[in-house]
Amino acid sequence: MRAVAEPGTSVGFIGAGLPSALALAGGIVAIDVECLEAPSDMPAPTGELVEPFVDARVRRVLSQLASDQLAGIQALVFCRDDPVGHIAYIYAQELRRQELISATPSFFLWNLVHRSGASVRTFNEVQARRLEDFLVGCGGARWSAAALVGAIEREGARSTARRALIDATRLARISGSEAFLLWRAGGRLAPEAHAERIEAALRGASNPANGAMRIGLIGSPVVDPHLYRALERHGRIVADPHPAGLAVMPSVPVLEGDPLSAILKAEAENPFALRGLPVARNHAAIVAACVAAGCDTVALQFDPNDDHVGWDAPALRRALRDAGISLVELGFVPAEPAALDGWVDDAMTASGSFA
Amino acid sequence: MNQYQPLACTAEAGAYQKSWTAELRSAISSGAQYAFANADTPHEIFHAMGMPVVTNQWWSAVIAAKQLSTYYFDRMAEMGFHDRLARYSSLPLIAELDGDRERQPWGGLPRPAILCARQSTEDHQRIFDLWAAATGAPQFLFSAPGAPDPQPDWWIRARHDWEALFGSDRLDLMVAEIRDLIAKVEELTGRDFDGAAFSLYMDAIHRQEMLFEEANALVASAERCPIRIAEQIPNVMIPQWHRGSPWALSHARRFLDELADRVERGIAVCPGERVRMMWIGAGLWFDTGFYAAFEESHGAAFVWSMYLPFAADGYIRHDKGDPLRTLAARFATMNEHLHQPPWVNEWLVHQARTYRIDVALMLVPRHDRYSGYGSRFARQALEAAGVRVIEIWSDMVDPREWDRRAMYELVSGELERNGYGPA
Ligand code: SF4
Ligand code: SF4
Repeated sequence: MRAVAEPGTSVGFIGAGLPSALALAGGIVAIDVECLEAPSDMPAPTGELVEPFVDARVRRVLSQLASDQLAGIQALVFCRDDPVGHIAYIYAQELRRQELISATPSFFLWNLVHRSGASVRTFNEVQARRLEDFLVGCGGARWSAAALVGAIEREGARSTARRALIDATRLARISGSEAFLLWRAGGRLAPEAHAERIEAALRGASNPANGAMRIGLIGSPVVDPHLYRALERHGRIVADPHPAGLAVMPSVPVLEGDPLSAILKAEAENPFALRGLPVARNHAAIVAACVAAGCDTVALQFDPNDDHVGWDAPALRRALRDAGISLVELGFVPAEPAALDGWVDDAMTASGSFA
Repeated sequence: MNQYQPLACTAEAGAYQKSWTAELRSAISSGAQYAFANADTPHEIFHAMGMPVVTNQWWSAVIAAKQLSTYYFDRMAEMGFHDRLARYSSLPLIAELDGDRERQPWGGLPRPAILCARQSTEDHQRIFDLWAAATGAPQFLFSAPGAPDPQPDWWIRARHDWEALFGSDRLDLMVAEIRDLIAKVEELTGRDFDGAAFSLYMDAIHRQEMLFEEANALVASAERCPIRIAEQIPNVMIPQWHRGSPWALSHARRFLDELADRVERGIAVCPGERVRMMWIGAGLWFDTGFYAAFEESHGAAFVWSMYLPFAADGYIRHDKGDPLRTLAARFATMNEHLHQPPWVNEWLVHQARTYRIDVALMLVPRHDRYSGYGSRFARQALEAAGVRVIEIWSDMVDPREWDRRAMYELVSGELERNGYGPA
């Protein structure tokens, strides 16, 4: 369920790429503002300043800002390497400069670059120190080495639970929609609470859907459970390696040497990051996740404003075919949730996968 | 009847680029190497090391001008790419993937030795990855972290105060990546980078951009516009693709001299000029004739396109003793200045005032979103400055949804509604 932000020392973020351990090391649980309520329309004049091709997720956070729904949040971190965070930042800072939205929360552009190499490492460390200063200004604590190690360990417990969730999804012990909601709940829970919630759900899950069609979901980031539900009327989603799916969390930092570097490296080299390099590594990770889950078929979908994932489509199609996995071409996701079922059914029929 | 005569240097620029391309092809067949690079990457490094550069967006414009883009965009769909992907930066890729070089302009592009882009958008790395897979050429990608604190008056600060404007962290990263590129080009060519020569070469570029700055001031201040934008563009951009070379400098000088002569003699694009218009966005490459469509009928001339003023504002960076850092300051935030608020809106208003603009036509390419973002902020700012803005929802290289007659009617209707009736 979506909630309204509570006042207090709270930090929100938008887009993927902020390691939660960093906020945690300063004693802050960062909240994904996509988990918070938003008005259905963007109030004027903001609405008139946002072109129709700005995608729905960006519009959503701009609506939250324009209608003061994030006033309870002290700071908002925009993740630059995710277009949602980046585009939202461009618009939000201009709306603020023109005094069209209020002065809270304060904004921070999280500039971590997703690639490896010494110069990027140095750059990312500078960004992290800037983030630390910013969070300290919001009431957070400075990151001691011990706090960073502690945060990695706390996040480690969450990662263990998440791995169990991915395994349970692969084994079809839990539906993809449920798993997805459990995973998204992490956007506003401390690691222990999140792990606990996942574990409790997994304890109760014992209905392996043997024999159901095993579906993979790839393409544009999906943050709305409706699409999962529409697909699962045909089988079970056992893998969802799209940029907002279960598998995309960076691997747990390896704790040797400096803990801050370890956290940054794990994020910078996340193979699922949208701007991660090389591109082929991202394709390989997507296909490997579908193969590991034993997908019978993979559904490929695009955001109506997609301008990047579409370039990957031919390569992904080829790689899936080589792996012996069939493909359902869903095309552009309709804006209306009510249209989803029919849209999925049509694509399934066209591909011969209608169950 | 409009007696407008093109400048002599316009044909020279076109002829130079065409023969350069032909020479490039024959040089490459005898073993020379060239780089294929996006417009917002430091071509300076390739030039300094004797490696010619073909610019992706220039080649895209050439393909569109030869009326070949409809064929390629149909091919793009057949190749399995959906139809909402950006076209401008990808048209050359599609031509490459199509494989039939004879169909391409001027006999087609040979295989590049290296590909270079900046990750200013999410698609560039994907487009260049496909290029690399198709050609076997290595790719070099510059990262493009965002600007945390974008200052509206970038074109003033970027000249001297660029360290603070772009931030030392971003400049450090760009310089490190430029050094990596140098190492890569050294490896490919077997030549060494010469720092002293590079410094002189950067000076030459600075002189060239200062000539363009003068040319820009002339065009802006002339009582009536002395040159069509369809001519401004090749006279600026062809030398820009060869910036700092002896030919480019002498061409910039020739262009300036011809302009000065015209202004002195009072020659105008549109002797009955009543409405001064700006064309916002990249060129309408498949129909550049559109720019002249309102001269006779409405006394309305396009006097401004971004290319001439941007040659000054986008490129002039005063050297503080480290030419590579100066170069980084040119590219750390390049096309973003043309497309993102607050930069684009503030710059356009400044330009509109300088050029005494009445009406702006704004190209809004919905599938080239990074060129379209910020359009509404720009529109709002221009209107607040007294400029009437007409949005043109089209694409710079894809003519499939372009209806010249409907567009003509839309624009003339708007002109007439704003009191600019037929001449
Ligand atoms: S050299 Fe040109 S850009 Fe630099 S300060 Fe002088 S006039 Fe301005
Ligand atoms: S239109 Fe803008 S983004 Fe596209 S090539 Fe030109 S400057 Fe770059």
